[in-house]
Amino acid sequence: MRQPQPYPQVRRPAGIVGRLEARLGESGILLLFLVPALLVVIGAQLYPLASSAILSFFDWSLSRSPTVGPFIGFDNYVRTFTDPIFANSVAFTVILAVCSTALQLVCGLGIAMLTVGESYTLRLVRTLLMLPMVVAPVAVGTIWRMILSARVGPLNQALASIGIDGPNWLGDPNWAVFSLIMIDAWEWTPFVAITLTAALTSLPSEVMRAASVDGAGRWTTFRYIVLPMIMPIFVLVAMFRTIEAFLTLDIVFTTTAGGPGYTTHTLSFWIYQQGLKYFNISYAAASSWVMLLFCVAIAGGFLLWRRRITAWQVSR
Amino acid sequence: MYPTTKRTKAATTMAVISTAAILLASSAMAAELNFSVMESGTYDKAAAEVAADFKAATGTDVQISAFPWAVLRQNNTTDLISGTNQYDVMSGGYYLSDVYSYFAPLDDYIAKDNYAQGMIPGLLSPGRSEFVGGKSIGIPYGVDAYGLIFNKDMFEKAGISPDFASWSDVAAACDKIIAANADVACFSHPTGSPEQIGGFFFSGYARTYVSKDGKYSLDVPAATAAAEEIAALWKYLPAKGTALTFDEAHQLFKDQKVAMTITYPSFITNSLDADDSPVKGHWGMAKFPGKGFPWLSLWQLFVPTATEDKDAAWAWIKAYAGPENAKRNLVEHNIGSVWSATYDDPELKAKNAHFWPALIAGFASAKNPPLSGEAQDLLTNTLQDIVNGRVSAADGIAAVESQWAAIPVPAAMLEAAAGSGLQEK
Repeated sequence: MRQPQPYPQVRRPAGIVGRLEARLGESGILLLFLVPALLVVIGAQLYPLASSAILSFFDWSLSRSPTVGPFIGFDNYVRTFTDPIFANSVAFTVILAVCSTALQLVCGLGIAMLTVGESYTLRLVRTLLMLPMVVAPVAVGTIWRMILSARVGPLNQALASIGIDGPNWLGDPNWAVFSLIMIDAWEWTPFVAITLTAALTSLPSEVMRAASVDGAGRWTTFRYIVLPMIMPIFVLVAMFRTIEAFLTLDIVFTTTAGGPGYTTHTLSFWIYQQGLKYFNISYAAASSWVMLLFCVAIAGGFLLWRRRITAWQVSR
Repeated sequence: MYPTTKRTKAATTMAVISTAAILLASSAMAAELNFSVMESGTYDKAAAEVAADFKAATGTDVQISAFPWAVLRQNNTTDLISGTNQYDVMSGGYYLSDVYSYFAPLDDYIAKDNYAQGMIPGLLSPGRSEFVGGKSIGIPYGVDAYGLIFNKDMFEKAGISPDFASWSDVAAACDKIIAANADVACFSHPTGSPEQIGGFFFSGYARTYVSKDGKYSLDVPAATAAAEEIAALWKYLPAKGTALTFDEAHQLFKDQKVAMTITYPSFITNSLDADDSPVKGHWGMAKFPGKGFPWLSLWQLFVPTATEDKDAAWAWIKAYAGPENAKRNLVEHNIGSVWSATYDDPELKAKNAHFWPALIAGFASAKNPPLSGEAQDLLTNTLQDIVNGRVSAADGIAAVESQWAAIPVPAAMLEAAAGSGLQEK
């Protein structure tokens, strides 16, 4: 009979690390090693956040003075909530976020279902599909502005060649909204597709085989097995894309410049204009905080939804 | 101690010599001046030509940083506000009003060289060029004013004279033009540049922009009427013509698909008179409609207070913007001369007789609105919403009026408004 072997002795590191570990314990020294990274995070993230929060309670326009003006309490926030252009920007941003994300999820899931697999062709297709995502958004906007030019753009020329009178994509307020949704969806659908392909690939094959043995059809398998299993990832992707849509600035800047009029002003575009064009720093800071809180609420909602789905999956 | 070999000694000697050479070279390097200008293929090209002559004459190397208009505006303001101080001389206009306080007064230089002598009368005055505290900060070098360019043949066919008192008159003429000329739209305009709609409003609205107590304010009924006029006119744009670029708008006129184009003349007149232009000899320019003012485009040179060698900056201003190169800049790059003598040149006068009278009349009456960037964007974006039917003229102008109340009028703009008669008395 084999005798149980004693656990090997853990060798404590010698020198300064050993002495520190003896004094602080393992957790303490791990925390110590994290300090440089934490300092970077504090410097690069928390400091600007705190600084902008403080600024939002002051009256400061860089064009009037290089130094911060007087404390004005919640005035900038009151102005934000009573500013009709801010309200208009929120409305358009919500429309863009909801429609574009929905389109991306539907198309992305469809593409993922069609391209899941490990054959050379499918891998090539997936690589090609990634291309819109890796083009700089400013370039995406510029290219689409040319494509969508109502009178001389190739899209309307192509439509005309088959007898369709193409619309005024960027000049008509309704079509401009549609165009931006379409451009955003075109750019980011590959992200959704790639992520969902990974989720589909990781599904346990035994479950699929069991469903097949039980006589489940493709739709039934998708509806009752695949979709519920990838739902947590699906919700996470939806959350990422919704929040990203709230931050849309570059394609708006390069295609419509927020127009016609105020039609396609997104929140980010409005904040950019206030902060970096008109230099109303404190008002831009207040608007940014409102947007941040809005995004946190959305992320919270999505995470809550994801938790309920996961709990439901466990209970089944 | 590391052992010293012959090789390390030689390397050390070389390093010392190289460092000394670099230091000597940098101290002996020509003086350098950084100049920001619009990348247009005109202003920047002219600057490159003048810079070569300038270097030969003074030894100063002018580094030209050219950017598209919106980028130039952003770079200039950011350079000043952030204290980067990269540019010694900047190109700009009244839209830099938010940062006027960062520019050096140039009165002493102007007086010393009697620089204003020979300039178009009134050009170096508040409301046209830029002033702070009564002191001149901007030196004009390129002038233009919104113009109405028309196709003579189409007007003749429609039996119309190009004398329009208002935009309503233009709209009335549009009906006749369309009826008389098949497959022709009435007019084109760079509608895709949202701020350009201001050109119609500033000429159609003949009241003030600043109240007695120094707040942005419109005469609401007059402004509403002006906005309604523009909305009515917008119906005569070409099909799908509400997001045209400058190039598209101009090409439509050249291709004789529109009877008029409303734009800055310097952007188009050279190409209309080019040998391959289908409208060469068939176009003219009319007096700009409306009882307000044609929108002035006056490119000026500014010297930031942080510029170290202001004498060199002034020397560059004189070389680039002075009368010596004015004719060349006009002929080769279509940069509107700010010097009266250019317009008295008999050769140029004869060549440009079909549009210079209207152009020069435009210069005489053209102004800038005393609006900060924020106030102007609010007005022009709202006008875009009005012409696109998103809001009525009455509601849109009322919204501008109420939101303008929260936008402070920069001190320089108050000065400009008072100087150009655009403040309520």
